[in-house]
Amino acid sequence: MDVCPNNAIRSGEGVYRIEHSNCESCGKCAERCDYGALVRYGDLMTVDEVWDAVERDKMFYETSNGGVTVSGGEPLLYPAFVKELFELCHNERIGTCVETCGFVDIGAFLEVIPVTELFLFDLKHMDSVKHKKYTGQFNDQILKNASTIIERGVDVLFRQPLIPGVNDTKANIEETAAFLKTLGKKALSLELMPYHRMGQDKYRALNMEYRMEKTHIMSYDELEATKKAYTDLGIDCVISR
Amino acid sequence: MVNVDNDLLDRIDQLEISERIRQWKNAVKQSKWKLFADRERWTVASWKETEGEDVQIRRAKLLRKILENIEIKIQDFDIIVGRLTPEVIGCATAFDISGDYIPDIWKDTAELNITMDANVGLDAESLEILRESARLFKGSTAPEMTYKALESIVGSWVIDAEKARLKDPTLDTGIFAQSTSVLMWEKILKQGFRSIIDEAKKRIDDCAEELETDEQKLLFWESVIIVCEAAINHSRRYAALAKEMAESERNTKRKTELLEIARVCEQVPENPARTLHEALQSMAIVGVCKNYENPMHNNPQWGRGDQYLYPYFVNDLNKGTITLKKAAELIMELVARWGTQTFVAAESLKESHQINFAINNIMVGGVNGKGVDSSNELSYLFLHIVGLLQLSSPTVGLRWNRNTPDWLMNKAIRTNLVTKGGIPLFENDEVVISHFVKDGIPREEASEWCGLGCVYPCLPSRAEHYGSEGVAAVNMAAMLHLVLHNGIDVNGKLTGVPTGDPREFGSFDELYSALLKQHEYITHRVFELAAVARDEQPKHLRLPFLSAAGIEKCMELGQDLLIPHPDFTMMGISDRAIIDVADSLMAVKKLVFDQKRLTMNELLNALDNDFEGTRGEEIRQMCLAQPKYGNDIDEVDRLAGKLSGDSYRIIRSYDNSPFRKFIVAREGLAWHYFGGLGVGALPNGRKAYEPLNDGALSPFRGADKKGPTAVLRSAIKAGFTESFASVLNQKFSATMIQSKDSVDKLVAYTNAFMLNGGSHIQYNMVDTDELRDAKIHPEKHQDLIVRIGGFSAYFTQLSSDIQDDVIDRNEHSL
Repeated sequence: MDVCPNNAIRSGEGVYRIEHSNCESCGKCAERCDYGALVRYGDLMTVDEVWDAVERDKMFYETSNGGVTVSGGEPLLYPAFVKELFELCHNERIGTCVETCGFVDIGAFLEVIPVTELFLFDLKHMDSVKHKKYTGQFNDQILKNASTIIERGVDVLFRQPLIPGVNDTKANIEETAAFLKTLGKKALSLELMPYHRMGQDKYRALNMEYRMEKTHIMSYDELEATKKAYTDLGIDCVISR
Repeated sequence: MVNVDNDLLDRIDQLEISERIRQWKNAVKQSKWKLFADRERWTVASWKETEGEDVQIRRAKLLRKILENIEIKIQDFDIIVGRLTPEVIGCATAFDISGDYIPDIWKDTAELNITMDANVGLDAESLEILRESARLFKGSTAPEMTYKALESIVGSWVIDAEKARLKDPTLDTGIFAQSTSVLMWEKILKQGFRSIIDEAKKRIDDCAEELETDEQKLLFWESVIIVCEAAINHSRRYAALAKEMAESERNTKRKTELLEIARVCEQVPENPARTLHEALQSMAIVGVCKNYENPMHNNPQWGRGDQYLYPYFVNDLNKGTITLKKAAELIMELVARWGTQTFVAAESLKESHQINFAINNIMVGGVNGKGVDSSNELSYLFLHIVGLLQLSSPTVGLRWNRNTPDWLMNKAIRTNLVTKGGIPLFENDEVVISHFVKDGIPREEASEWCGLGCVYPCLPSRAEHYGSEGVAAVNMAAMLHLVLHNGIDVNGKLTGVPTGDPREFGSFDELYSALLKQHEYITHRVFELAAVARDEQPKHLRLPFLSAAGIEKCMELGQDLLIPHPDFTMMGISDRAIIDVADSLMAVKKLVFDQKRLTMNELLNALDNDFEGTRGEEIRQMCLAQPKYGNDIDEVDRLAGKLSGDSYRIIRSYDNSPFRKFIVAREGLAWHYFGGLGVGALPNGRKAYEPLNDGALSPFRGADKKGPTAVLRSAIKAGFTESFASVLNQKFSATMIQSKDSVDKLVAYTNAFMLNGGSHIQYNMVDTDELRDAKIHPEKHQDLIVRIGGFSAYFTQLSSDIQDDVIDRNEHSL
């Protein structure tokens, strides 16, 4: 309790609680907790600090032809940071990749394209209204961005988080395939990412309500069937496992 | 690099277990552990007959007696003949080598515990044969006489140090020089035993001509002649048996096979092998003779089978005299036989090794004498064969170098997947060879190295004394225990040197120097006593067969390999538990000296109470929370590196003349359980008597929390460059490496480690039982990584239902 500069740790009824409204995430409490009951996730880092971490793994990139993926949140909300980091990678011949939801200003894409080798680009739902319902935003800008960056000739791997009952419908599969076809030959592949409940514990730890407890986890056969539906439509489809 | 035949590799991938091998597998499954007393019958008879003769001749005649009389059998599915016991699973004892190594025979029970979990039934007659032999040899064998000699010098110190797990109790295990290593397979196959006999005869004649009368030399060559003739005759016994069986055999196919067995057994090992079949048959007989001479612990080792057998393999295939399927089956037959040869472990070996199958090793890949990678299709076939057989033995090592081809690395990782890990393990060719060369071994000779049993690198051309004189592992964690208790060990004895009450230490440096002082005291004492063992053992035991078939120099010098000679003797040691010590010292440094959150007194009290009592658990959690090796934390990684360097300097500062200095190789096996029994609670948070870290460079269980790449960065930083090999075990769930993509990633991971100086790595594929255990005891499995939903995650951090999902998938992934 006494290590907290903001007095955000309160005791009561035999338990200690962090009042998140007063907490500035300084992490001092976690540092002092030898039992590991408090763990701080995430650090504010400068480009140099991230680069130091990247450099430590250089030996692995060299033998695997691998590289760095920035992911989110949404990394393209910070294009300058990404660009600066990727320039360093580029100079050392370390691969660069951006994982994006696509919902950013096209300017962000254009800024990082010269130093980015691959985009992992989410196509969550083709129906804009449903897209809005499940993600909070329409998909118009996302689809437009997809076309624009494909036209620029960059490598994109489109991906679809596959949520049973949401976007695994026949209609969505057909529309997704049709959209990929409009982008030309380079865009004819799709990676399916089956829904899992890995996030459940995280929600619990943060006292957040997990609203997908009842969502079905697709079986191997169901996944293969979805994959086949895409393959039949001429899309080179893989399942991420 | 050999121009590899890709089509042949594809065909190898298609090979499956043949019907014949399947029959053998069934026979093994149906067999019970069985101990055969027959060998003892003949050792006793021979020893009585030869009383008063020279020990060399006595030992030679003892082996001859066994080879002439022991019961032999050809099983219906055998093409290669020559087995230690008539039945497929069996072991033989050796009271002539270690007089009282099976105390169980004096008990009033029919069940004999031969290793940790293997009981053998024994009929009354057999038991009496064993007891008869034990009565004859007890008290006068090499290890017993050595212990007596040591006791007269240092009293009970050796026994005390072994009980405190400061040193390995290897003296009574039957590991005598080179008995664990590789025979001169190339010479034996190319020249045959007749040429070795002729060579010995010529040397005797030359002596006569030059009027040289060194009796010991002459007797050595005489002993060689006796055992080599006996080996040839042993093979002829099989030929005769096969002929006899052929006569009454109704099945014409089997009849032809039996006649072929007879023909081959008349050709080899007396004469050069001309075909793959003859080569393998020669090895089988020579191997079994080696085991009859000393059946304790170790099998004949393959060594670089992919090199010396390659000409036979390729010639036969090219000539069309053998199909790939048949060639694979023949090799598989011998791999399987040597892999399932059981042995009776000495009491101490039961605890430290925990295995039932005699150790033997196959080495694939690696450079030749000119530095060129010589991986070939046979390397690939060996991997495929061990993948099909799925036995816990042999150990298979891949000699990694920067030119190891991708196709071999890929096959190696896929073999790991099939065998559930550990097979093959990877050792760095470049590191090992450069160490040997730095120690004055010619590069050409150094490039023939292979694993001695598991990881410890040895030269087939020299007699390796590792373990045989009581020098194997020294336990640095037990030394730290001495430091923390002013020289008193875990059993309350002063086996160490008094280095002062740690409560009085004013600085971390004082603590550190005290550790080095204990180290020097223990290690140098162990070395001095090894010299006594070295003088004592050959008075009571000789191994003429192993000398003749194993070491060229023995033949030249006329000297049994049990009498060490600077020209052919290698010695080594494994200084263990460095990571336990590094993590522990780091915790003391932080908590007591730097941050002063604990006094030394508080810490020592907590350790002595095994973290029980009022502040026990709190202090343990403080200890656990200190920086641990394996997380890419410079301070502790470098401390491990410093310990490695200082330990090496202490070992090398011992004047071992006229012999070479002791080499350092940090192998592991199940020793960490054994070693842990001599160590009280440690400041790294480990409780008393719990196992130490496995391997040499593996992190503390559950302490590596930054993923597998951080472990390698820590390992590279700690370096351990002084050691020929340092075992690093990495654990993955099988689901993690299912796809081709993942296999490539593990190849890249291995390559990255080795390119940056890693000396050894092996992968364990976690089985479902372990996952289940991790669910119940997460604290023991915090480092367990699984792959789920495209991510890698620590298993213990997943919620219960996801853990179930992973368990379910792991079950079905292979």
